[in-house]
Amino acid sequence: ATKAGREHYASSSVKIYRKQIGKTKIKPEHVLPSKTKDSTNSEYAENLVKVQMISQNLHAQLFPQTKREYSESEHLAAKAYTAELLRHGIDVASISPMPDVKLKLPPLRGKNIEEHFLAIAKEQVAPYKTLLQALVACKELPAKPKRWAFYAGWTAYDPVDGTATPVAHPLERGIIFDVEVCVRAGKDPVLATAVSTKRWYCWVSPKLTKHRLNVPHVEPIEVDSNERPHYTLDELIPLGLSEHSLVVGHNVSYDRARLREQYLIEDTNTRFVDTMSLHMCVSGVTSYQRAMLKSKKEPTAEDLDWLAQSSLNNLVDVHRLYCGGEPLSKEPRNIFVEGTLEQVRQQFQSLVNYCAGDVEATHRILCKLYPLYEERFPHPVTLAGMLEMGSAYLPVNSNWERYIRDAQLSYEDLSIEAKYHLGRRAEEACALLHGEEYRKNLWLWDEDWSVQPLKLKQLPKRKKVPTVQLSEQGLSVEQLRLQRKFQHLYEQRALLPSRRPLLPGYPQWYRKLCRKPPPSYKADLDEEPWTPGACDISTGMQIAAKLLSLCWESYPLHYLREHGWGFLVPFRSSGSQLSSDLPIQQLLARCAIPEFARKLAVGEEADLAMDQLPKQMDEHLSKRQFYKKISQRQQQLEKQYKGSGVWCNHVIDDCCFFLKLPHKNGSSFRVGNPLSKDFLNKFSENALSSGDPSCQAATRVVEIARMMSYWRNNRDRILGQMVVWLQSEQLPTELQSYGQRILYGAILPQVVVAGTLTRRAMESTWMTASNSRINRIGSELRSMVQAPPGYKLVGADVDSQELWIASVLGDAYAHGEHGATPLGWMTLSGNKSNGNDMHSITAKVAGISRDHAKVLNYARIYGAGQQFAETLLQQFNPSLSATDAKSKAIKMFTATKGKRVYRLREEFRDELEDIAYSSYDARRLALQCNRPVNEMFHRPSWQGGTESAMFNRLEEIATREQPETPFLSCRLSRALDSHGEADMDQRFLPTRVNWVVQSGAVDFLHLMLVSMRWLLGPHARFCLSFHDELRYLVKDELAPKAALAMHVTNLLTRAFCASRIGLKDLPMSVAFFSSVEVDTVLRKECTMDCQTPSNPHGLQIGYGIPPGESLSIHDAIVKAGGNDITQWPWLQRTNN
Amino acid sequence: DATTPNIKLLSHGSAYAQQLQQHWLKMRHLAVNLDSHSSTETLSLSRFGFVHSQLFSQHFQQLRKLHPSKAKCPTLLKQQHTSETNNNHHTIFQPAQPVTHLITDFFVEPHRGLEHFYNVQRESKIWWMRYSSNPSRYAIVPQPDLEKPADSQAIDIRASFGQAGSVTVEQLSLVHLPTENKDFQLPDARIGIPHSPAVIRSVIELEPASCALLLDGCDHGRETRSLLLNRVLAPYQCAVAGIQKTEHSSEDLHDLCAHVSDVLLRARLRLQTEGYALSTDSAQLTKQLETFDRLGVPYTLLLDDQQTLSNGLLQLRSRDTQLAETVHISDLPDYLLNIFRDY
Repeated sequence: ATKAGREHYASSSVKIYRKQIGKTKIKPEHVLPSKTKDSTNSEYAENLVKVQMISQNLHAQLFPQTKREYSESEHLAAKAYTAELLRHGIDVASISPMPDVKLKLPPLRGKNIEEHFLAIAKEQVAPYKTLLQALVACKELPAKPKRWAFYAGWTAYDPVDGTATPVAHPLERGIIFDVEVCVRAGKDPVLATAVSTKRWYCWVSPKLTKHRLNVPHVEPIEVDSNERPHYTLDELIPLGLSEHSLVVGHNVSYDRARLREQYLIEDTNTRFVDTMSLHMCVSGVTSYQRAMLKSKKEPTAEDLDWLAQSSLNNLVDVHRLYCGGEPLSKEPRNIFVEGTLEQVRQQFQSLVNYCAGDVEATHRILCKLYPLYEERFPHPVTLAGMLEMGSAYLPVNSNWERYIRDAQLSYEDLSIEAKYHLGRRAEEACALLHGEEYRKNLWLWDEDWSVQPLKLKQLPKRKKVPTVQLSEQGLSVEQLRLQRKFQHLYEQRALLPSRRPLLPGYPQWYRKLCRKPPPSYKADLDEEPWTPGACDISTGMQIAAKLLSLCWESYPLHYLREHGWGFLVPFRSSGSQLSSDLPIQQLLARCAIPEFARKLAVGEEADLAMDQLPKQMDEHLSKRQFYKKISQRQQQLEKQYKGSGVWCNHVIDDCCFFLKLPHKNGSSFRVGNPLSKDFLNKFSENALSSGDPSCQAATRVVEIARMMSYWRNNRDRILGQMVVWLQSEQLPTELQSYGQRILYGAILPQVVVAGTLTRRAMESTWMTASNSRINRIGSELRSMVQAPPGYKLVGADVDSQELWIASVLGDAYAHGEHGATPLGWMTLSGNKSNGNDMHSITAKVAGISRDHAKVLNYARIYGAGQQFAETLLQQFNPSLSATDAKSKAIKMFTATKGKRVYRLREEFRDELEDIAYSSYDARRLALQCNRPVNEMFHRPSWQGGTESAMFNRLEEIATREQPETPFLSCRLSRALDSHGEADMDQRFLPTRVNWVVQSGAVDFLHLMLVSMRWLLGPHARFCLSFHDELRYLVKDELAPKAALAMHVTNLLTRAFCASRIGLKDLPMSVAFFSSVEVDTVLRKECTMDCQTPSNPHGLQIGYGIPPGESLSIHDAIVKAGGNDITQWPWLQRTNN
Repeated sequence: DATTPNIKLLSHGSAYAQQLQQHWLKMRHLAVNLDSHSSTETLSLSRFGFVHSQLFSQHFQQLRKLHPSKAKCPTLLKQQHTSETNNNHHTIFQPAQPVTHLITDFFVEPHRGLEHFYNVQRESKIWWMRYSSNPSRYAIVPQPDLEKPADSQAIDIRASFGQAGSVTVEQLSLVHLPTENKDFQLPDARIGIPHSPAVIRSVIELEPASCALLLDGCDHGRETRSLLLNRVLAPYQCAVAGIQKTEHSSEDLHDLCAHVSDVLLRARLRLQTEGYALSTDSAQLTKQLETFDRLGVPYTLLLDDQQTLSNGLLQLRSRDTQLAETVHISDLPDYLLNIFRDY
């Protein structure tokens, strides 16, 4: 690159390379003042490609050193950008301006926004970092006591003589900590150990020391929910309420959930450092690598490099990786998992030693790991963000128990209803036994219709049946006469078989669904009562699909053990001589022979003739021919059959093809249940249907199955949430009066703050919770997180976060101007209603719906290739042929990602023409010159597509020796380090490309967390963040200010990100959230009423929860009492 | 037809309604059961206004006086009331007047009114579903149009009959009693503090509801013309039919039919009053069974003069499966009692 194209930014270590435009040289000395387009409004600003930028007052506050001026050459270059945009169907003049925003921000700390974040983050982590560094610096821990005292509560041990002294809580503010839980006795802690730089501590649950603990029992809200565990603060471990303490642990959120003060509504300033998350940051692995680590197979040579740099996440493996030495023993752990409290008591000493051993191991890991982390994650925002993420808090109240009860009950009700429908269908089907009607039934013909008769035994000769005494009490003369007359019939009972057949006279398949009745009648029965009829029936059974007469693409379903579920396609009409059980006539009456099958059947006729040739033919040969024939047939079928069934070489009774149902994991898998989750949607798409139009039951049963699937899949995790309830005296005073009637409590979600390779947080219940859907039981889960009275949940979703990150990287790299690449422009100014947003444009190009285009766009940005796009296209539209899907995908990729082109390296430009070569040409040329491609050519780049600039930038970062995130310079995991492989041959390239954006998004989130803390100080409690979403708990009166703080946070964070990549300005469209939600519950949008089958009346009517407010930046300014943020009391104090 | 007026229950239907009434009485058996009355005072027409009626406060005082141990929150009262229907909407037929109102009042803690209201809704819906041939028929329909006082809510439980429309089988309303009136206070069963309870009132109009269930029994889309009445509620649970296979009419077969009928009646199973039926050929038997099916008789015992008379084996034929299983005379009546057990 020439000097003119390269700039070095003082405050950033990132070098920005800008591609030159054509052959024009940019001469920075010709600077012309730019003209403001709208001279009537001094706040309005737009950039070279007519993207509206933040108002002048904001720009002056955020980028004080930068003037908004453009050189003549820049104006010239802009013409080229505009032309390119137009080529992709974008008219830059088409947008209408947004209203300007005036804000008085608190003064930035330092010269610019970058210094500002550095300063505030340093300040925020300072107290914790001091505590942490002391622990890291402590090379030798105090001596462990020889013997642990069996006292309830905390005990401190003298480091010299080991004297045990009871204490209220550990005396130092920085500790390494580990909790043990006796799993069978509940989720509450039984013992814990901690060590500071001064001494050891041990905490023992009173539950363990006192054999029968008299914990005052709080009546749960409903009598029948008695079985749900009810935890209170008394059962948890106190750490005291001192300012700024630090707890280090491995997977520390598990330990945090057992700390008393963490459940209080007011935050305690204790923060948590998770060695597991630090490990993931430094040495995290991809899912493929994880599978490798778990597998017992001998690793290949190419895996050895990274295997030496990483491990699984558990303490033992992490310890082995960083510290080596003797492997840790996990043997005693089994007592905590499987044992009883009594066993824990008996082995108290060894178990505390084990727990303390883990603490020591965690310390050793910390000492080795933290320096690595500090080096690879140099920006203080990263640590600050992780500390904040580790303090998630979800307030709940009595509605939580009600939610669980309602969900469970609706689930049971619906499963009974489904069962009832199936039972009814089974009863109805029984009638087919008359006149063997079942032979004509397309679904039930191959069931077992045999009937078992009830026969009396033959009386042995000269033996008499024993007489039976029948009660004659209270009978009239006539009654007595009749009873005596038929006495002998009763006596025949002795001749009944000792094992009575069930339902003699009923078909075998039906009898399998029924239970034996009790031998006699008792008026009062405690146990589950017996009911007649098909009671052992469920949607999971094979018979269910048959009873509902299900069809796939209107062909009847059929089950074969070897292939699983499939369907029958007739290919031969009448005239078959073979006797067949299959009701072919009925099948033909329903489904005419389809054209493709008819064609195949013609070939089949000939094959039949071949088969009947004299058997002299070599068996082997015929076999071979048979296989050949099949593959031809398969080819033919693929050409002609437009449906989604899977060919599996199976012909039934020489008149039907059997085609398998498509399995989501691929054609080699068998479908075990057509009523499973994956097929439920096919029902609404009409691929799956009931062949019996009068059978409304089928529709209903499928509907029920769909409603039940969410709860079935999530129930265990939701029921397993540890809720800790607060007694009324533990609530803030304003709340105590409510506390008498309604329970308040909290859940501490067990967040692994950096749980993946990209450092995204992981948690299994809340972070995977979907939005509520009208047809999913229990999907109102998130809205059951409810702020206590007097508080609000304030938060927002970052608008198209990843898309912006990706596109702004491309903009900065290619032209150094927001919106100068087509993707950039569409992201910033594209508009769904004008049809010029990214998804609409892709939809147009590929000829698909906008919703489908959206999925494809994200898939591509996440690194999916063309082949994946083809699969997706076919999934969206099962009738799309492979060829069509391919051509659509190619079209889409050419328009978006562009074409991959190769440029000659400088030394070859003399002998060969310097043009853009396709990969085919490049390879051919290299072959001719007898040189490797990458020796002759530069790394290929993308060209001509809307997203080419972005992909070039992402690949540039991803293929570096040491890739770093563009915003906070966070390094990629060691496990993905390149080991000198050539650029494009790197094994994990797609993962690394994906990492750039996703890890960049994590930086973005951490920046927001730091900014919010700066703006609100202790007045906001962090609740939950997941991906691009952020929620805080604040007092009612501060909610509008918190909403404004959210908007400002967005502004500052984006300004920081833009600045870091060399763009000293910010577009208006992304400067603020489109809305910040001020609400009392956790939900996607504040107007969502969360109606589900378990919450049929919605939140408003059913729970009395009104909708929240959704505040734009303008609303927020008004509600927060004006645009002068410097006037907020707590900010005034720090400013002075 | 949506405007079919003056629907009346005949004898079979009345017997059915009676069964329904019995089951209503048995449901929520902890209730204080006030007697039925057919007062001239028309039931307050408003879904919420009933709390201001004379009768309501009269019952409230009765509860406190006659059942002091149950005069706590939560508690419930049952009463029957014969008067004009107050349900003129959402019904595909009009019943003959007057109708029997089965009324249950729940008195619950005021701050948990909503929660209880939904529990009652769900319980009631399940109750109807259990007695139905198609449980998916029932829906809880909110009544938002009604002019209602603050904190009050009302829903209908409706049985839907596809295109034809729907029938309201139960009405539920939630009303809060005025807090200022000390007459309407009950102590909290848990903490003893008196408060003005919230009232959840359930109203079932017996005759139209019975009609709805009878309609439900016909609307099943099967080929048979059976009336699929719930086996527990069916006015006739069993029928006895003799089949004469030999030419001569057999005195013994008559006697056996009489004997079996007698055994079942003594076990308190409900049999058709006409007693048993005899047929001489299969056509006659088929016709006989069809009649039973259309009357909604769930089971028919088939006795013949060959097998049954010689070894006691008989056929138990089910209306729903159209199949018969072989049982022995000595299995009676326990086998049937198990089948008809009401749980």
